[in-house]
Amino acid sequence: MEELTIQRIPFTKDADNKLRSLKARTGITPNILCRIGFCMSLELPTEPNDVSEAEKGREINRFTLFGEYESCFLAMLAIWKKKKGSTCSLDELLIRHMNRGATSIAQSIHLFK
Amino acid sequence: MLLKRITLDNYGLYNGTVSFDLYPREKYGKLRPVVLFGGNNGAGKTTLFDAFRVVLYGKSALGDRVTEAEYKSFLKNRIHRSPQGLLQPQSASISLEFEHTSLGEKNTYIATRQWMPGNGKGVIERLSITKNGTQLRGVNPDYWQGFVEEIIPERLSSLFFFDGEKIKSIADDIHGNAALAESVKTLLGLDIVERLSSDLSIYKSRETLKNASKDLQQDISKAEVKISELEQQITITREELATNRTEQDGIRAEIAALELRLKREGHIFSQQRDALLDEKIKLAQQIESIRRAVREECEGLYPFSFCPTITAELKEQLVEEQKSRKGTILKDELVSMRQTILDTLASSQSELTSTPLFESIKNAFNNRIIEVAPEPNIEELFGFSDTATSQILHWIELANNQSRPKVAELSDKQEELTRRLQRVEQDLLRAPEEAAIQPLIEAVGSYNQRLGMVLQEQKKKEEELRSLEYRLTLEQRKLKRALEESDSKADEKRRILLANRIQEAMKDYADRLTTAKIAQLRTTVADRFNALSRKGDLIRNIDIDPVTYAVTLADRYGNVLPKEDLSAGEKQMYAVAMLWGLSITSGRSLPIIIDTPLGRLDSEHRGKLIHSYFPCAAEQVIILSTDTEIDKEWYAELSPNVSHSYHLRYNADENRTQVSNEYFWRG
Repeated sequence: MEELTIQRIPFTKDADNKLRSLKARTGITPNILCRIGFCMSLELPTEPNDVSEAEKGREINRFTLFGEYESCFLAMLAIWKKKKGSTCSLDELLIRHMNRGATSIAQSIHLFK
Repeated sequence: MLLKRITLDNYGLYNGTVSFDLYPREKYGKLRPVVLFGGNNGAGKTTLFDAFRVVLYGKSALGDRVTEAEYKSFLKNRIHRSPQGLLQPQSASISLEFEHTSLGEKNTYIATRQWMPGNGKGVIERLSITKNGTQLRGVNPDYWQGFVEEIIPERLSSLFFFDGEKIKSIADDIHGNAALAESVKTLLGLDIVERLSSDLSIYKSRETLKNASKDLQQDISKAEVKISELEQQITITREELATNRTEQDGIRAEIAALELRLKREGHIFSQQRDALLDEKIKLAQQIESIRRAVREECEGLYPFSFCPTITAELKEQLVEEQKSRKGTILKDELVSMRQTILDTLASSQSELTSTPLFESIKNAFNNRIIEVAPEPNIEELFGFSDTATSQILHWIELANNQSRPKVAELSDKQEELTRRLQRVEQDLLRAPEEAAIQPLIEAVGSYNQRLGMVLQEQKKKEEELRSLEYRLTLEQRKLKRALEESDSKADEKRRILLANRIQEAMKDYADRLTTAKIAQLRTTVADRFNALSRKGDLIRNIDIDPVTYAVTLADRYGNVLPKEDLSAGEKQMYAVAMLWGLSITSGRSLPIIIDTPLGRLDSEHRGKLIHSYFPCAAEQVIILSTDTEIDKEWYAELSPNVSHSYHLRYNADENRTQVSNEYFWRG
């Protein structure tokens, strides 16, 4: 099975700002928001866009991001990759889903009133 | 007036009931006026004579200067005492029946005066009167006295009820004119005029005294000043009260406006503000704890519930992989077991390998191995251990079945709490802080205080007004009294003037009346004297001075005839003439009662009296006589005029008077 090599996950400036504002409004820390956002992104059928060209924001430590549930998150990501037959590496997919998730969750703010 | 009957009951010498008919009877077509009573000294003539006066006049019968006690004692002594009677009479009475014509109406009256000894020296006296047989109830002695006075004035009674003594006193009154003056004055009613005049003087002096005691004018002007002052004060007080009421209205309006404003400013919310704040905090805390719970869920398994499709697939994958792993192990196990069993069987009993049993064992293993062998196309994605696999499966299970409903519930709760919080916050927004409305509340307070003061002021003013109005009424009353008094003073002045004029008029009246009456009296007396006088025309004229009542007699030649020149008999004749003249002049038709009249007259004068006086003196003449006065001879002379007669005789043994219907002797 393909292993994850990336240790720090980068976020675009845009996603970063959204996380900051969400944190301010909900009191939920960005890593938790990212977990939710990541799951929401996995549920979408389309492949997330490349974010490597976007302006860089903060990076979040991989362990901080997943905590004790890393295996489950990664299994889901692997399922998604296999299902979609994506050619991207797991690292790349992780970055893209994380960034898209951050944006998705900002649109579903009603969940965190 | 005619006396009809006198009844004596245990009066004086009269024991038991003794009744005398006094009504003049008609005989031979001629009314005989004389009723004759004969009796010697001590037989009860004078007692009878007194009885008439006592029944009519009561106490006055005894004279002017008789005290009540003397009168009572007199009455007590007049109750008959029987020397041998065991039962002494307990009461006495006199009853007089008479006929009186007044205003053309003839009425019969019976006056009864009864008395009995009371406690100690006292005497209980009772007077009753019947009119035409009907008892006059509740007769006041004063009323009776007034009634009797009208018929026979007590002061005139001596002109009609007289005795020899009276004649003698007039006869002996040579120089003095006292008796005559009194008689004339009484006759003319001039004594009343004099008394009235002196009463008027007393009245005048009293009125003058009353007038002097007060300065009414001053009282009136004082009261008027007071009243105008009070009225002014009342007007001012009323105005003040009106102002006060306006002020009250103003203050009330201010208070109402302020209270309205307070309401608008949310005074009510402001009172709840603390409660709202408490609730807000509580709600915020509750919401915060929900948020924390949500955050905890988010930090836990909740995120996995956001990708149900992926988790389902993951779950499937994991289950497949697990199953595949178990199948492989079981297949390997079965393969190795088949090998072992078949090898063992083949090596020990080789003949068995060709038997159906051997074949069926081999087939059973082979079938089972095919059954348990995993699908060949299963791709091992993760290579998770069983523990890791069940861990993940458990997470996914929890995320969907526990965490997600919990968050949904929390979210609902949070939503509700948030709504409540919003409401509270709205209320709080409406609820001004105490400080914001404090000035308003203070203003209301101060207005209320001022209202209280104004109300108190009003109460005070109203009290003041009442007191002023009361004082005003008092002053007005005072003024009214003073004015009335002043009016009456004016009246009094007028009355004093009137009194003076009345006095003058009365004096004039008295003078003129005296003059007129004396003129009448002069001729009447002269006429009567001459009719009685033996010497016929002895006196031509009698002159009576209207002021001094001095009587001057003039003879036929016009010369003054001194009274002392008359003989004793003539003097008595003169006196009788005088009485007769006076009674005629009085113009009253009254009976005459004469007690022992002829005492000192010679036979010629007696004859004159018997012939000329007794039959003509009045319609009813009651004569009480001794047997020496009207003796047999004179009785014969008088008898044509005698209606009937009585004889009174004293019975010494029984100490009482016995009565018979004859004179001393029968004529």
